[in-house]
Amino acid sequence: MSMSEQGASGPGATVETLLSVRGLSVFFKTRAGETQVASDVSFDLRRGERVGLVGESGCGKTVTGLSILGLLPRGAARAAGEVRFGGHDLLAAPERHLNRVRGRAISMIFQEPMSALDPVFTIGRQLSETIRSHFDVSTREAQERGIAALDAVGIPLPRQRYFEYPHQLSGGMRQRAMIAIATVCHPDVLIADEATTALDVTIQAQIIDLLIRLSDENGMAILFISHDLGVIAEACHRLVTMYAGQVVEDAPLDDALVRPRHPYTAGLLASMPTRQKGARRLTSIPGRVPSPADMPDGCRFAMRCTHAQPDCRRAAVALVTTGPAALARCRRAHELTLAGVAA
Amino acid sequence: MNERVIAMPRPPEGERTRLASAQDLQVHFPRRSGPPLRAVDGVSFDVVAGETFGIIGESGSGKSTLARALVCLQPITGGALTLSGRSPASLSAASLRLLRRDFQIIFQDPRAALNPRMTVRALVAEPLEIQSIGTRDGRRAAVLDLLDRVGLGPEFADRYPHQLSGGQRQRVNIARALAVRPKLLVCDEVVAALDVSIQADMLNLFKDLQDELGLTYVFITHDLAVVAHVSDRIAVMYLGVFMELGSKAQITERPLHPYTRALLDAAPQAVPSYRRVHREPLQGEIPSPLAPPSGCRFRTRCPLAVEVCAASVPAWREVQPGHFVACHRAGEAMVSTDGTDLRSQGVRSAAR
Ligand SMILES: Nc1ncnc2c1ncn2[C@@H]1O[C@H](COP(=O)(O)OP(=O)(O)OP(=O)(O)O)[C@@H](O)[C@H]1O
Ligand SMILES: Nc1ncnc2c1ncn2[C@@H]1O[C@H](COP(=O)(O)OP(=O)(O)O)[C@@H](O)[C@H]1O
Ligand code: SF4
Ligand code: SF4
Ligand SMILES: [Mg+2]
Ligand SMILES: [Mg+2]
Repeated sequence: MSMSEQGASGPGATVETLLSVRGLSVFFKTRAGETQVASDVSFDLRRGERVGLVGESGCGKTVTGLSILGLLPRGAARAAGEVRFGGHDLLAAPERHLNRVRGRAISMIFQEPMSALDPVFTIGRQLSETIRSHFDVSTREAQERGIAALDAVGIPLPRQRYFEYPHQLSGGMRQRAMIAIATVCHPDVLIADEATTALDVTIQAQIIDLLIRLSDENGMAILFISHDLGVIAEACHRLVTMYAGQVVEDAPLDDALVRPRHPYTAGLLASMPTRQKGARRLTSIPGRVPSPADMPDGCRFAMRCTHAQPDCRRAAVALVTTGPAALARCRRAHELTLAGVAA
Repeated sequence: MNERVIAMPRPPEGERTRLASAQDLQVHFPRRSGPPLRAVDGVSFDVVAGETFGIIGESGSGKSTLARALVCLQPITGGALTLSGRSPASLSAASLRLLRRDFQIIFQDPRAALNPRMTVRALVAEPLEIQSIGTRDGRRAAVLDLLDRVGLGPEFADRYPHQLSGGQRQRVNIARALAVRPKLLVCDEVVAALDVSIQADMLNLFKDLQDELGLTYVFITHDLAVVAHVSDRIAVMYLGVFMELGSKAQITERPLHPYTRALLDAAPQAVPSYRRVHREPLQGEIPSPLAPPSGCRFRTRCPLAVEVCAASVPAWREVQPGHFVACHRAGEAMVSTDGTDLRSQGVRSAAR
């Protein structure tokens, strides 16, 4: 069993919104002045909901995830807008509050487990420190909770593994250990940035199923950042497509995949080799993502869009409603019929 | 040695030229103590001129070691390798150098392979100079022609690697490999690090180059969708040996080996009706090649394993013309312990 009981459509409309990103913009200081790498990004995460964030390299997925937890490089970057969570705006919250949220209510995991695991401490020490920084519990209690977390992520012999160092674990087990540390405090939200990207397909499938199970069992919402639409399709309820720092489409998963409303989402789908497509020539998206320092006026996708019209380049394009809970940033969203995957 | 070597995969169509042929090929790495690490432990196959031969398997299964052996970058420790009908081991240094021109390889990390202090022009000219191919003027023209073939305009000639995108760097690597006019190109995870749109460009480029230059590819990847897209035939590798080998249709639509089926089932799918939803992923991880399981190497993770699987190595046998498999239970009704029909799932996810 891997897909949630709630089905692919996700939590019903009445389920509470846990996290609300509103008008998020991220700026980096460069020699040439400030460049904007995320512009007016908005989306919601409801309890138990898994939202996939997709886009090519450099589109702003990671910086969006990092800014939610105030993890952008200090001094070099600045975030504006709002990240509403638990009655606070995390962007305006003092560091003291963020420290209480990080690793407790919102956690983050990454592609490379060794970057999150400290090689000089045992897995157990890293687990118990996470627990004791958020809960006033005895060492013994922390150890029991830590072992339970290792067990919950499917690590065999958790009582033994607890005392081992990261290098003593295989790649798949390290990924599980990192997830155990991130979820040991039962967070409301998990941000998973390319967390299955470097793994073999069989291990990737195991980790996807693990994340789905943890989210179903505990109502944990997941922001699933990946450049792989297949992975997102297997794991998520909603798809948010980012292009050049902007959200260009936000829709229920299957709506976006079967009937994409933005030419960029459709372009990503057309580029994917699939067994169903056979050996046919793939349709790639011409050109490249524009650099943040050199953002075109008007629709940012226009220079790569086969549906572009002169008007598209004139003025910035706003998100328009394309269906129930569905948005697309395209002037032609209502008139175009774009190919997606088979239903 | 066992039965594996008896059945020899034949070229798909009659008398086409065998460019490369491996017979019970082994690459063992000696260790300071204990038995050697058997990275490639007896594989047999032919690569036929003009085809794309795909190799798929999890990390650590020996794909890259086999790839390097195929282009003589890695000495083999057992079995036989034949390139263009000749055995590299028997050749003089000069003849070997000439032979190796025909067998080129490109690797995954396009950045690591390029000297950061050389321009694109110098990088592409380098293999021509090393092999003393053409005159100076001839080489100048050849470089621009090669860049054009891989879709890079002359404006790229004077750039340095750091001024290129990942996809452009990979194109430079291909141009370098093509410079010496190889017959066979081994591509080891060459699209793994690229964005999907650039990956699509590269896969199209490989196809175009094959059509224009009659190239033959050995295409190695852990991505099933990619290997199924490019390959005419596919070999499935696990812990140093082949588990199954057949045409693309045989492997992706009528797989006979439980491991092949597990790989097909694990591949993430965007199409709603093909998703893994109710498929149980393969449990566990690939064991250490230092201590491969006895009998069938896949048995520790195989949902169909029975006693005989631990006791004896399954023979490598041809079950259909061109379709080879090593499994005691290949072709049996594939019903797992919980009663689900694994075969229908494997076929469901691949066919239709
Ligand atoms: N420390 C930094 N200084 C300056 N610019 C940065 C910095 N970190 C990221 N950027 C820029 O911000 C933009 C978005 O980067 P981000 O890492 O969020 O992309 P991404 O969508 O996660 O890409 P990938 O798929 O490659 O991980 C890019 O243009 C990137 O070059
Ligand atoms: N030069 C080497 N010395 C010792 N062991 C090696 C060497 N190269 C590869 N190996 C080992 O051989 C096995 C197969 O590796 P590799 O061919 O890289 O697999 P793959 O490409 O399928 O991931 C691995 O266990 C690896 O660690
Ligand atoms: S607004 Fe115009 S250029 Fe932009 S995505 Fe839509 S059709 Fe293409
Ligand atoms: S030989 Fe046995 S263990 Fe190996 S794949 Fe076949 S059934 Fe599974
Ligand atoms: Mg990123
Ligand atoms: Mg490899």
